[in-house]
Amino acid sequence: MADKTKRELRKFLAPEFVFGEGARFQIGNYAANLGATRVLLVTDPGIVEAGWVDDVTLSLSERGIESVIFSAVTPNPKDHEVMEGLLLYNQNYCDSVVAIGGGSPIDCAKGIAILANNSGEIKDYYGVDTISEPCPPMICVPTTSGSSADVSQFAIINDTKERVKKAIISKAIVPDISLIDPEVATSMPHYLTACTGIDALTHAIEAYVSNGSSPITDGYALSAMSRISKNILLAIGKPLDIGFREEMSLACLEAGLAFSNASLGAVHAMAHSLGGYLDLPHGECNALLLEHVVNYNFMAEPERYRKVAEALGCGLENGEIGAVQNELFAKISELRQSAGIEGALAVRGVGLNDLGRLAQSAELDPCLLTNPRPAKASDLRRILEQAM
Amino acid sequence: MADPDIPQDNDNPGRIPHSEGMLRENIIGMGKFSMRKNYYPAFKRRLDELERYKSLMDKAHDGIFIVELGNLHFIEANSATCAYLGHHKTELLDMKLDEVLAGAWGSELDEWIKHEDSTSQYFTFTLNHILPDSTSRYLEISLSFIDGKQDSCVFGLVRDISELVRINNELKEAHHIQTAIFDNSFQFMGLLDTLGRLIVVNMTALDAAGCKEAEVLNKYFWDTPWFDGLPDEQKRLRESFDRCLAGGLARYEMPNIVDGGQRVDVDFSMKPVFDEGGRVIYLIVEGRDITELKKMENQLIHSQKVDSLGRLAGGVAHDFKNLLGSIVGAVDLLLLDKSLNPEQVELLGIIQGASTSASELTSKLLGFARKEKVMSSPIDLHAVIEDAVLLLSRSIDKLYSLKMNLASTRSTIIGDPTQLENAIINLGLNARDSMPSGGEILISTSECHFDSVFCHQSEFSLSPGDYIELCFRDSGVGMPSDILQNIFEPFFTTKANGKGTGLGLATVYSTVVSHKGAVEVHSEIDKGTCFYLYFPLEEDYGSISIDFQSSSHNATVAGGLVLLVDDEPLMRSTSAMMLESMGYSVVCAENGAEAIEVYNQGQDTIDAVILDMIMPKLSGEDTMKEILRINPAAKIIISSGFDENADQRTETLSKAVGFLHKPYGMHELRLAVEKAIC
Repeated sequence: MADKTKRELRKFLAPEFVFGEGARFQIGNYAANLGATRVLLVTDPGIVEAGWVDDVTLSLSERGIESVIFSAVTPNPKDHEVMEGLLLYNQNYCDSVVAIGGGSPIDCAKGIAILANNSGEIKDYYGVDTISEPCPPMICVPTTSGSSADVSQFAIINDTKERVKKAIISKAIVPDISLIDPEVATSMPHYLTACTGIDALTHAIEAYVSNGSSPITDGYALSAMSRISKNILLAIGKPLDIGFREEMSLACLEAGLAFSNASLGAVHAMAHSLGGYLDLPHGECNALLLEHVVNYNFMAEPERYRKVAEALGCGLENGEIGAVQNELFAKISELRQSAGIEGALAVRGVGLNDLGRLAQSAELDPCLLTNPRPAKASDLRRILEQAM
Repeated sequence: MADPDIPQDNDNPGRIPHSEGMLRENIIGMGKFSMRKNYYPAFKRRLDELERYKSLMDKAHDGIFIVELGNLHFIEANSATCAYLGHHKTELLDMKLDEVLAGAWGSELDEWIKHEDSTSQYFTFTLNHILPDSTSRYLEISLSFIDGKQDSCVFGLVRDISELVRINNELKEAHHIQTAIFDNSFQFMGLLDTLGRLIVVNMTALDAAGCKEAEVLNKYFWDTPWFDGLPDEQKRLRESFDRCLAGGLARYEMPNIVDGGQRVDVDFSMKPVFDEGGRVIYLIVEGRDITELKKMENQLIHSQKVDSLGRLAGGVAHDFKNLLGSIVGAVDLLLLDKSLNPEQVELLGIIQGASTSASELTSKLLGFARKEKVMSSPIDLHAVIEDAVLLLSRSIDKLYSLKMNLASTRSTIIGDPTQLENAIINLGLNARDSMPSGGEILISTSECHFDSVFCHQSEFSLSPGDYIELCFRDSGVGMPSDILQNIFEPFFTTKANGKGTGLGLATVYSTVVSHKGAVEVHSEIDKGTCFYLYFPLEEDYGSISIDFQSSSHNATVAGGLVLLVDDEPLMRSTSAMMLESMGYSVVCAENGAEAIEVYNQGQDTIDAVILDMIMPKLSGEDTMKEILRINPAAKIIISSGFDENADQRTETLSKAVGFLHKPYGMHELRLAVEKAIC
């Protein structure tokens, strides 16, 4: 990079966040400071059952803030769920939005927040930078260490008509405050811990090799990769160990700060396509695609991938580049399988005749724009075939 | 930085097409709008908006305010609200709506405001609001519920309607005045539209027809009850309508049908009303009931006719009486001559009889013409009636029964018993003639009262007060209305030629008039006729009867000096001869001045003066005044054919000791002079 005569402009945007055990109890204070009097609390039934919602509403009510709970959110949040939440928000004269959960409730909450201050339907805001008015105050309490929606400018909404997950990418939907509390992650089951962990790893790798990366994001990305490779299996093995959970939460935060600013690549482009078409869990899709995309991209940014391999602890610091590629491919594949994500796309209901359509949708996904190696639908189809 | 709006991808040679390049710029946060959204611009817009709303509110002529639903505390109020309610804003925000409007806070409003789910979302009321500075203004307040973010509120609008109320009151007042004029006019008034339908009508017209407004409104005018059964008038109305619609006028006399189907005479007019463009938009129809007016007009013509006839008759009668006086006097003197043979005496008797008849006829002429002397003294009308009935009963057949019911408790009037008796006898004879085969005559009296309105409207000159009604009813053939209209006309008679003078009822009429009374007549064919005579009642002094018969008839030889004053030489010489034949000495004067001079010289020797009232130059009355000045105890006998001031007896004339009615004979002269000198 030092020999570059001209460097592209780069920006870094991150929300205010509080990191650490018990951060969720800060919510009453922050909400009050943002002027909230009645919040729409977007979550899902699992989180309610785990008891995290009660912690949050108690904290809010201690500051005299009422909560209207909207928990009818499913994985890969649907456009109509956004509209239901919006109705509840308006009917109850809510003035701010709180999201507790993984990527789905947070993305749904972002959709509701967009429409609370902007007219029309959620489809009017698909794409990049389409939001003109600021959203109402928004506070996130992430419960999975994966999506990083609590710090990112992304919201992914499932367009049920087209059966495609649509990305909304805008600085307007970076939340105001994120309260990152490792304790709430302890309620995640093994497989979810695995999927979200690999999702975070994908964020870090794609951000690092993205053509929108910058020195600031690079640091977070490499740190996240290293932290995940060291802790993911331990966290899965000892789910209640707050130390490993904290590490994974931190890694997820770092990956989120990186990809929110550097953007992503082909893995996410295809994962969005798959998730929209077959309603597959997002982390699982990423996990099944990551090693194949790394392989496809490797020669476009070989030196960067060498750093990735180093961060993942592959050794071969000065090794021949082809060997590094093989080693990296093997390392990622091994990590996935050790985490318990077995099999491939075929066993998850993806048919060979779906691949053309999936590739076409992926080609249109904005995440592909920052992929280090340009890819056409035919390239993407070949990758998908490899992941079968 | 590359402007994303201008296609420019020089910095990314070949890697990504330029549109994708822009998209990439945006994703990595370098797009034109790729920055965290800030509330400040929106807040600023919102603040500007609030400022605008605030100035809208404060510039509004109407008051706008918001109060909390539960406790009715003011939350917001604009300048107009503060001005209308009379409190500063800071003051108002510490007050409650029901406190500020305490005067107008009724239970209905209270009920409404306490039920947010009230059936009506709005409540509007007006009040006369007394401001803290004791001035007042009319306000209209509208309240409605609005849903706030936290709690529901009551939204209010205050409007100052003082000016509206004032204008409304003025309009009402103007309307009242117009209605008062319109509905109380004597005129029948109405307005027609251009199709001829009645769209407005006044109470006078409705009352006349005895119908309700709804029964006539929007009907064609010619189909309304006023013209029921008058097809000719309906036709004439349509013609008039067409003429007026073309801008003309119509005014004529027409009959109308009023309540009870009665016909009245109406002075009718129709006139178009034009708009600014000169087009006919309405037609005014008016009518005035002139039935009474016409009746009075006819009566006036009648009384004028009677009056002029009376003057004529009176003027002739005066001279005629003087002539008769001379004839009677001369015959009386001739009869004193014992040398006349019986044939001559008989001829003189014929002359005397004819003269007496002529004199009576003259008296009748004078009587109806009111030229005859009227004695004005309190008399009992009942006594007069009884006397007259006694006379009547002797002179009419037994076929007729005469009954009396003199029920009036009071019966004293001022008047002349002879004339009254004469009137009753005239009525009696008239009744007899209307009942050729006999029947019943009932004479009754009762008391009644005439008020000023009645007196004013009457054709007779009546004064308000108590009257005695003398009702004279027969069961005869009755009279049709055309005859009724004329019965009081002099010389009008239905009797065969020579049987009636046509003066009987005319005399009754003039008697009534000279007694300041009134007469009315009702008649129905084959049922009978009824005359009502009215005379003003006097306080009961007890009747004074003047006994004309009391003096002695003996032609005794008297003595004394009499001054005889008369401008008629013939009258003067005849009377002088009669007086001398009675044994009196006579000194004559042919006018007032001479009489005064004579009396002045011989006042100690003159026992009585016979003074003619009607003389050229100095009148009898002035002469009398002068003589009385010389000697207040002078014995003066007035002589006159008539006396225009008979019923206005002056103080002077009342000092006369006697009255000689020309033409007078020996007998009357003797009685008068004897009475004066005794």
